[in-house]
Amino acid sequence: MTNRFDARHEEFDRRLDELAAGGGAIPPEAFADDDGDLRALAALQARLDASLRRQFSLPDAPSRGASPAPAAPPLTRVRGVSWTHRVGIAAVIVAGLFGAWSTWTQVHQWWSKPTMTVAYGGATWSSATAAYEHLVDSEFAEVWVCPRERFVDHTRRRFGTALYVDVDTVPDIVGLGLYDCGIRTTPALCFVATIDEHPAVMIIAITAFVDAKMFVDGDGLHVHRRELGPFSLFEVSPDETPHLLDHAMIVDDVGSSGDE
Amino acid sequence: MNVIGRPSADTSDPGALGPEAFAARFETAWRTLWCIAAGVLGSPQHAEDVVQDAAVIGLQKLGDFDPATNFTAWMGRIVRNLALNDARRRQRRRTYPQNPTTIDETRSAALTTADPTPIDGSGRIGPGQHAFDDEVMCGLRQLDDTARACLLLRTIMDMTYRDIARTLDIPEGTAMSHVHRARRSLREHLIHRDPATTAAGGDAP
Repeated sequence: MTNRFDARHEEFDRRLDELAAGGGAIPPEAFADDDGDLRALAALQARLDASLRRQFSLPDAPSRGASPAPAAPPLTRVRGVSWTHRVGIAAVIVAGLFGAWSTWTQVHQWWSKPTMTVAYGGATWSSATAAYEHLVDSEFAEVWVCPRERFVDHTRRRFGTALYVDVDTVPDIVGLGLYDCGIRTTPALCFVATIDEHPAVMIIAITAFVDAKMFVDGDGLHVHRRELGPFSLFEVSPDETPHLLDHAMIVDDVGSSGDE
Repeated sequence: MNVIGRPSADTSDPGALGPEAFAARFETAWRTLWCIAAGVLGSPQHAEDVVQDAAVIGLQKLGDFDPATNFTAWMGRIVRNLALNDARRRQRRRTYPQNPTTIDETRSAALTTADPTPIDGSGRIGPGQHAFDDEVMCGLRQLDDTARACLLLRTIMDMTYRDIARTLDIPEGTAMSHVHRARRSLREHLIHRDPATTAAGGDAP
């Protein structure tokens, strides 16, 4: 549909730029000496800008160290707290809690202890893709962060063979933690990571207990599989190629890694 | 000891950005990052969450940041990726209106009777203003995420095209084109919905 303004938009935007070289709201009165079409566009633009400023009104910026918020691990979501406190929490953590590397390490390890219900309970989902969607939708709130030693120890206790996913030095991959779960009747362990800021989940299970029907593509997600020793590893993500599977390794009893 | 998710900053490197400096720069850049998130998402909802998530990731990847480069642009890339991922995830779960035609007709009717004065003498927003705001959001969502981000940085933050370009790591001319096209697209959307929106301040069509 054409209208009388079609030929005037470009001219109008040039005039706007001339009047607001550094940005800022231009009152319609600035076009008082222009013809009716430009005045009409100016009035509409002013109303449009006011609507954008109203609907995208900026929240207050966070202030460092201002909120006396409870210390919380940065890799888990603080729930039920207003956004100002959440950003304040992050600021407190950044400014105060991680000032010393040893302090950061100690806090990180303290938050690494899983409860027994999480260690051997967790949720049961109908499929690998359902597990991914739940973990992403819950913003990884239930994921517990652990250092290498605890990761290895947990898989040894849970599955009888120790496993580790070594992404510590891989660019663009950040390991977030673990979550015990079940995929229908298959006991499993989810390793959660971000790959270039996008979430990915690796489901670790013993091959003998895997029901393959539960580990198939779906809902726009791909399920990539690798077998390693007694394990079947399933990487679930929107990506067509896996990024985590190759970093999984069996860890022998003396703590060194070995190939399958 | 190897810890999953530990910040990659090497605190022994005098050239690396430390957590204190990160916090200071983040505080300065926060509003810009919020606009980027809101632009990519197409709404202010969840923008704060995205920026907070970006702060956590930025802290983890501190060792990857060169302090001699633009911190806001670096964080802006993280924010944009997180916002895109968030938008994709919500898109998969979005429910659709049962009758878009009915909704369009309702909106058009509301605009026709819209009070051009957005706020009355008591400071209340007029009944027609809500419909106008809805149409603005509807038009905004028809833009691509970069154009939305450019528009918000220009309109909300009053940033110059040069600063927008630096923040989003695009050419200055591209930033200006995005803003011009976004404005024109929104104006045309509003004019199409209700030609009367341009009656005030100009000759009658």
